[in-house]
This record gives sequence, structure tokens and C-alpha cells, in this order.
Amino acid sequence: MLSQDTPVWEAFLQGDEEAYTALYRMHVKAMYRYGMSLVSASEAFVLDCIHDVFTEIWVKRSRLSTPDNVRYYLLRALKVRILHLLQRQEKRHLPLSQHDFDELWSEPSTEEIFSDQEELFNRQALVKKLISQLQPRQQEALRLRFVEEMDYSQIAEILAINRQSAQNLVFRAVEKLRGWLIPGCIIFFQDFF
Amino acid sequence: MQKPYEHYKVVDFVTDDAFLSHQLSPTEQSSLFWQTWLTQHPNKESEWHEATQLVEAVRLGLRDYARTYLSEEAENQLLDRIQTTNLASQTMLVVPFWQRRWLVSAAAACLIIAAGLWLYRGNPQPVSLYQQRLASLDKAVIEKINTTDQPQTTRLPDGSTIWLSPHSRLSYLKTFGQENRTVYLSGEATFDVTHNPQKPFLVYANELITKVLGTKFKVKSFEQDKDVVVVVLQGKVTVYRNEGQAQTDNRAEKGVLLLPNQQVMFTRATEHFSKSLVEMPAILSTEIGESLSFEFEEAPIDEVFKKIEKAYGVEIIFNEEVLKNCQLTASLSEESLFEKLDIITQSIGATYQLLDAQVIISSKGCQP
Repeated sequence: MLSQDTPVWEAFLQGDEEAYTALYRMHVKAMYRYGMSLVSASEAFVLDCIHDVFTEIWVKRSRLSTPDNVRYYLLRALKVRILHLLQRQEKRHLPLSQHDFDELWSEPSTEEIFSDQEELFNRQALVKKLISQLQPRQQEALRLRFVEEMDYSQIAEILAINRQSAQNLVFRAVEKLRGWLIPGCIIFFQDFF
Repeated sequence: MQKPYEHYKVVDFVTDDAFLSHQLSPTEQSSLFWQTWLTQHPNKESEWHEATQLVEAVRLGLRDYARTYLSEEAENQLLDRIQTTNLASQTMLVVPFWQRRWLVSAAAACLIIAAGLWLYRGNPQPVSLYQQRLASLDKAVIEKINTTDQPQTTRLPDGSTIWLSPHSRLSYLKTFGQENRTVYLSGEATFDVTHNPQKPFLVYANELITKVLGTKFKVKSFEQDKDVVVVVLQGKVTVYRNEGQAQTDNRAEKGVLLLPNQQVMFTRATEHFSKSLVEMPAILSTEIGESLSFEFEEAPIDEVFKKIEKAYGVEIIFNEEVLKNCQLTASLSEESLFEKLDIITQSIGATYQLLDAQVIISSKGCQP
């Protein structure tokens, strides 16, 4: 996955429109889901931002180099674009820092988490709900690590933190999930064996 | 460098890049490594397996995310939009503001010219104007012919770029750029022209010559039977009737200067130029930081018209004295130029008509 799209990227840098379209086809779904996970409220906004990323790399193609990981490059560009537009829209308000945002996220108690467990019909819904209880930043790190398959250096750059902090985010998220899962593990882990 | 895996606990494994890469996208190499490692560290097996299950659980919880669905239709529509924007940025220089500085300094300019051999379909001529012109050149010529069904890219010595449409031909002197910058076109092409005021860029296309004056513009001419059309969205372009080799110095009176949002149609049968506004005039790009609002709150009507004139680069002719009591309260940000004009004139009991490329307002005025 690291290098298979490198030749395509290089063809695109030469102005090959088919290669450019191929890059779009390879990565647009990941960009879409990642964008939607950042700003789930507005699909149109996410599509606009993907549009901007692709048109911008087309215009700048002669000055771009080849990234080690094209998907990572595109997701980072998408996040930068999304944040840039959000900041412009919200200029009048004082910007919330990531720290403020994390602070707002109160830690749920184990009782709260499992209180409506009966309503959850399957493991998938339960784990999904547990993940949604994590700090947004931990959730984002999990998505990037487990679905987009980025390494910690790349995640660190997207989240604007250092590599160790990125790994710590994932570590704490996984640790927390494990802690929540173990008390009820008989219910939903037996199927794994 | 071997990591101290023998001291790893469950979560350490789940958080480890190498472990995760193996779980998510195993390779022969990684399988071999972990198999070997597990046989060497049998006491770690249960933790290793729990880690595997934890990875599965996390993946399960993220499955909805991983399957966030973008429909094929939406995917194709977005691709269309992207390609349209790319085409436009090659031709228009309407670019996001953060790139504008770069483009201005590159001083590139673009135009599309179309003038077809196929215009002769109903009226075949043995030798086209294009061929006649080539034959009259007594210097070495480079000719590009696009026989494919894709646009072909050509770079000129001055840095200009040309996208030649299928079934089109383009020629220029081998000495292009040394004395002048002239190209000869049959068919359709998009030009991205490097700005050079000392050497104007000329496109000869059938009876017309299009000359590039500025940097921010687009010229587009649609092939219609018997007509050649040049459309300008930004900047300035001059279009001349080509009177042949002898009269090259005397073109000024026979040319048409096109400003943004204007177009000219040349009717070949009557050799008549008619200038008008384009079908959908676009708002011209504004300076950095300048915002164009069309929210009006009891605004004097001359202010409203001046704003529109500036935004679209059109001329609006009206009698200031008659309209001095007219005011407008309206929100017109979404409307096109002609929709705006409809709304404004209706609300002040006026009418408008288009004459050449001007908007003429007729009104009996408003009550004070």
C-alpha cells in the first residue's frame, strides 16, 4: 500500500489525466469517510473540500514531489482544507483550542456506558458506541491507525503533535476500550474464539 | 532493531506499528516474523492472541466508519466537477486566492479559440484558409495534428501551453517567439499564454485573428455553423477580421475589443461582427480581501447599479435624475446577473434591455 500508487502519482505529476482520475478513484472513498468523520454535519461541505484538494494538486502538479504515502498526503491535505475553511467561517468567534475541546469531553462512567446495553443488539453496535465515548481526538487517531492504516509519524503530522503523543493517544484509547470490554467480555468475546 | 516484545503487554502489542501492520495487511515477511517470534516466546502467546482479538474488536467498532458510503453517482459527479474546475483553471485563471499571487507572477494567460474545418461542411472548399495561410509562409513550420480522441498538450518555446482538441491542427514558425508570437489554428484549442507585452500573442483562426492583451481572461469560441464566436470572461482580448497579409498595420478600426463577460459572434456569410453579453455573466474575481455583498437595505438605486457594474464588468445605462428616488431592499447574492436585473427593475417599476454589450434601464422613476 505504501508504494503501489507511486507510479500513478508520478504519471499524474507529468500531467497524465488518466493517472489523475485513477488517483481520485483510489482515494476518494477514504477521503470522504475521513472528511465525514471530521465534520459529519455537512456532506456538501466535505465534497467541496475534496474538490478543492484535487483541483489544487492539479494546478500545483508541476511543483509537487512524490509523497511516501499518497493516501496520507491526501487525507492530510483534506484536513488542512477543512480546518482552513472552518476557521474562516468562524472568524468572529474566539477559536477553541484542541485542549478546550478535549476538556469539554467528560469521561463517562462504566455504569453509564453499559446502562443501555440491552438496546445494543450486537457486538458491532456496542464497540461502536464504546468508541464514540472516547475523546474525539482518540477516535480520530483510531480511525487513522486501524482503518486508514497510517503509521504514528503520519498520524502525528495530521494531528499536529509528535509521534510519541500520537502513539499515546492510540494507546490510551485501546487501553480504555479494553477496560470497558473485559467486564462484559464473555458476552461478546466468545464468538472470537 | 528488535523491539523488546518479550516485555509487551496486550495493549502494547495493539499499539505497535509492526504488530498492527501485520494484523491489518499481513505480508509473507511479517507472517514469518511473528510465527518465528511466537515459537520463540510461547509464554507470550495468550497475550498476543488477546491483542489480535482486541484489534478485531476495534476494527469491528470502526466498521461503520470504514464503510461510510459514497455512492458511485456522487463519486462520478464530484469527479465531473473537479475536471470542470481544472479545465476552467487552465483557461480562466480564476483560481483560489491563495494561488493567485503565484499565477500573477507567472503572468500566464489563457484562451480558447475554436474555428473549425468542419465549418465548411455544407460549403466545401478545396483549400481552407488555414492551408492557404500555411502555404504563404516561406519559413519552416512546426505543425501539430491531433488525430486522437483526447486533447494533446504542446508547450511553446515561450512557456505557453496549448491543449489541442481532437481533429484539430496547430502550426507555428520554427522561429516562434524570436520576432513575434503567432500560431495558426484549425479546429479548437485551449491556450495558456505566458504574458509578454512586448510580443503580443496572436491566434489566426480562419477569418479571425485573436490578440491577447492582458493576463486575466478567457476567450472561448464555439463552433456554430457559419459562425465563429469568441467569449471573454476575464481580462481583455481583441479580435480582428483577418484582411490578408497586406493590411497587417491597419487593423485597429476593424477590430473588436472584448471586455469581461462579453462575446463577439462573427457571421461568416455576412462578415458581420456582433458584440453582446455572454449568456451567463460571471462575477469577476475581486482583489484579495475585497468582499462583494449583494445584500441591499434601502439602498439608493445608483449604488446598486454601480455595484453590479463593478462586479460583472458590464455597463449599465440609466437616467440618474429620473431614478434618484428609487431604493432597493433585497438579497441578491445567489442570483445570476440577469435574475438580479429582473428583480431590481421589477421592484422599481422599470424595464431593461440589452443593446450590444450594454444594459439600458427604462423607467418613469419612483415616488419620493
